[in-house]
Amino acid sequence: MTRWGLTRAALACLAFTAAPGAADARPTATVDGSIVFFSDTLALIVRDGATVKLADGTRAHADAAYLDLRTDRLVLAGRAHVARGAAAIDGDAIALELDGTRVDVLDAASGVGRTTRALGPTTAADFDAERFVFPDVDDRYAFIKSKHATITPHADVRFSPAAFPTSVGGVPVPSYLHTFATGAGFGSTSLAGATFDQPYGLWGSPTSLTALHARWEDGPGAALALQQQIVSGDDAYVAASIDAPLHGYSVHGFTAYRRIGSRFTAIADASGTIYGTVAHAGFTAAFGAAGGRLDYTRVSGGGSSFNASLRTPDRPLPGGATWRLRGDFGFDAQRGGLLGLLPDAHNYATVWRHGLDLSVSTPVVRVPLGATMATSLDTSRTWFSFPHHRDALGASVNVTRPLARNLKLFLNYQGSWGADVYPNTQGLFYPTPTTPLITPDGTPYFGYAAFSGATTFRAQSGELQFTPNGTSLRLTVTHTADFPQFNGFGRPQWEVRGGARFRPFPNIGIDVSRAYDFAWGGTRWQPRWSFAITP
Amino acid sequence: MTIRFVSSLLAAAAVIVLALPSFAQGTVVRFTGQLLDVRNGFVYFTTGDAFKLAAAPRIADYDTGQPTALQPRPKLFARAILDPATKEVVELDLTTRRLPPDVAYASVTQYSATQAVTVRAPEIVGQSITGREVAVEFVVTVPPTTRLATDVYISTDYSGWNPRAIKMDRIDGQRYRAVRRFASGTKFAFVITRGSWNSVELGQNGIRPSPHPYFTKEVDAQSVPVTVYAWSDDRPNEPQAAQPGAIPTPFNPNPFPGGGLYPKPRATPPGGFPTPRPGQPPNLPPR
Repeated sequence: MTRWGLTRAALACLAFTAAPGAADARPTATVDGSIVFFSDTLALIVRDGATVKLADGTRAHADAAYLDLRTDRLVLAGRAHVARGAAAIDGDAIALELDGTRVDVLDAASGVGRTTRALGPTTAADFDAERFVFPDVDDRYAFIKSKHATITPHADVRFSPAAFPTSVGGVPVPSYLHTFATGAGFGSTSLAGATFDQPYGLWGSPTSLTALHARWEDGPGAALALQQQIVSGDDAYVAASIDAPLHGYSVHGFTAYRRIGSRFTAIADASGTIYGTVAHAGFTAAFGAAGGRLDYTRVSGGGSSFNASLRTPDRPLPGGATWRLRGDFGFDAQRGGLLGLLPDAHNYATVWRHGLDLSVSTPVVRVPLGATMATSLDTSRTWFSFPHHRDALGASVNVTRPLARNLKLFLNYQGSWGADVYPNTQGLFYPTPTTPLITPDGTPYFGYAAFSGATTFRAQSGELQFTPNGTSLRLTVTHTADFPQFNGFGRPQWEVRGGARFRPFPNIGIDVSRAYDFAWGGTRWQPRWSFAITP
Repeated sequence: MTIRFVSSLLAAAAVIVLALPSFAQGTVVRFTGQLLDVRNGFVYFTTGDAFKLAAAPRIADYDTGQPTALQPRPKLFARAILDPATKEVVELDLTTRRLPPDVAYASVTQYSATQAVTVRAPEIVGQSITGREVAVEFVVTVPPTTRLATDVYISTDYSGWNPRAIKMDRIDGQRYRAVRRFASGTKFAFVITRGSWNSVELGQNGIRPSPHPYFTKEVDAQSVPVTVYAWSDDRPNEPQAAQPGAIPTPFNPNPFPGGGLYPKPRATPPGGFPTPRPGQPPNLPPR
C-alpha cells in the first residue's frame, strides 16, 4: 500500500465516521455548576446549584445533582425543579433517566409520586430508596473538576473548562473529552509504541473517536499524532493515524480487526514511512483449544512473506507440565532474489520453508529456601527449499523468593541458542572476515572471525521488588553473555534499571523508570527514561 | 374382698403393662417422608422439613429394623425417629418403598430446623449497593513464556481503554497482582495487556477474548482471577528482526545504521557480487 493509499484509507475512515456519528453524537444533556467527575465510577456530582438541560427540552435545577453515566440516571436533590414547556414539578428530590420516561418525585411532606417526562400529575408510588441514592464521595479522588459538561450517552463527556486536581492545585485545560464508550476497539491503535503517549480527544461518538496524541518517541523525540478510530462493539474496529515527529519523518499507520463468529478473526494493518510501506493481513481460526493462523506480509520494493501455522492445544505432562506443538509452512519472496550474496540470486526470488516448534513448560513449583520456580523450553527447526535449515533452542527459568511481606526477589535465566546451517556452503554465507569488525567506538572485534552462523544469547537477571502500600519500587540488574557480542555490538553486558510507581496525588499515579548500560560501545552509561501518568 | 382387690391390682397392672409400649412409643417422635438430602448434619425431606441429625444416628432397614446397606440419599423413603430431649434424629429407617406420612407436621414442628443455616446468596435475594469502598485484588496468571522484565497492565473501558491503565506487580514466575479500591456497584470491562494493544491477552483457543466484565460486590474484599493463555504478539523462536544491534545474517546482512560495519566477505563468490541496489537504507525493507 502506498502512502497515498494510506491517506485515502484515513480519509475514508473520517468520512465513514462522520455519517453515523452525526446522529449518534448528538448530546443528550448539558450540566452546569460546580462539577466533580470520578473516572472509576463514571459519577458526575454537581454542587452549588446544578442546572441540567436535556435534549428533549426538559430543564431542571436543584441544589445538587448526581449523574451516573453508566446508567444515565439523574438525581436532583434539594429544592429540585423540573420543567418542560409549561409543565413543571417540584420536590425535595427528583430522579429520572436521561433516555427514559419515568420521573420519581420525593416530597418530605407528601411522600413519593411518579409521573412521566411529560410532567403530568403525579400518582402515589412506593418509596424506592435506590432511585434517590446520592453517593457520598471524597473529592480528593476526583479526576476532573469543571463548570460545564456536555454528555453523549454511552460515548463521552466533554468538560469545558477542565481542571485535573492535585493536592497542590489543578492543571487546567480549556476543554477535555473523556471517552467511556464500552467497545474494546477503542483501545486499538495504529501508532507505534512510544515512551510517552497522552491522547487528547477532539471529537467522538459511541462508535468513533478522533484524538490528538502528544508523544515522546525513542529516536525522533517529541511528536504529534492524529488518530481516527471507528469501532463496532468488541467485534470490529478500524484505526488510521498520522504520526509526525517534530524532528524526523512522519509515519502513517492503519489497522483493522474483525471477529467472525466465535472461532475466526481477521486482521489487517499497514504502516508507511519515506522508506516504504509494510502491509499485513492475518486470519486466525480456533478448533476447540487448537488453532490455526494465516499471515501475509508485503513490503514495498517487491518483498513479501506468507506463513500458515497450526498448533495443538496445551497437552498435559506428568507433574502438571504441558507441551504444545506448532507447525509452520510458508515462503519469503524478494524481487531480484533473497540471497543477495549469491551470483544467481535471481534464482532464489521465492524461498519456501516449513518448520516445527515444540514448547514445554512447567507450572510454578516449590523449591528449597522457600522459593518457587517455573521453567519453559522451546525448540524449533525450520527447513528451507534449498540446502538450508535453522535450529533454535530457548530455555528460561524463573525463581521467586519472598524476602518479606512486601519485598520479593526474582531471579531469571534466559538462554537461546541458534544455528543457521547451509550444508556445504556455510563459508559462502558466513565468510570469515578479511578485516576485523569495527565496533561503534572504533575498537576492532577480532573474535567475530569465529562467527559462522551459530549464536548464543544468555541473560541472567535479578530483580528486587518492594511494594509498600500503593507504591512499587523495582531494581533490576541484568548480565548478558552472548556470541557474537562485543563493546557496542549486540546487547550490553551489564544493565541496571530502576523503576518507581507511586501516587503523588490521590487521583494521579506516576510510573517512572531509568536504565543504565555500563561501558558499552564507548559510552560510559546510557540513560533511558520511561514515564507515564495513570489515573 | 381381698381377692377382688388383688384382681383389680393385677388388671390395672396388666393395663399398665399393655399400655407401656404406647407410653414408650410416646418418648420418641417419628416423621416419615421422602428424602431430599442429607448433608451438613441435617436430614431434609421433600416436604420441606429439615431435622438435625444426632452425632451418630442409627441407619436401619424400615421393615426389619436391622442394619441396612442402604445409605441415605435423595428419593429414598425414610422414617426419622427423633429424641425429644435433644430434638435430634437418632435413627433413620430407610426403604426404597413408597411410605405414607404417619405424622402430621404440627406434631413435629417443634423439632424441625426452621432457620437457614447459611445466608442466602446476595445474587439471589438482591442487595442494595451502598457504594462502600471495597479492596479488589486482580490476580493474572500469564503464559510461562512471559519474560521476567515484562510489565503487565489492566486496560479498562472507564480509562478510555488506556493499555497501561493499571500496572500490576509480579508475584511469582507466572502470576501478577494489582490491588485497587472501588466503590461497591462499580462496573466496568477490562482486558489484560503488556502495555500496548499490539500485545494483548489471548484465550485458550488462540482468539482474542471479549473484555472481562467486572462488578464490585457489596463485600469487604474481592478477588478477580484471570488467566492469560498467550499474548497476541508471542511468537517464540521467531528469527531476529532487522534492527540495530541485530546479528548479521544472509537475509539481513547489514543490521547496523550507517552501514559499513559488516565486513566484506573474504572470498568473492563465483560470478562476483551482485550490483548493490542504490538508495537502500539499512535496516529497513528495500524500496
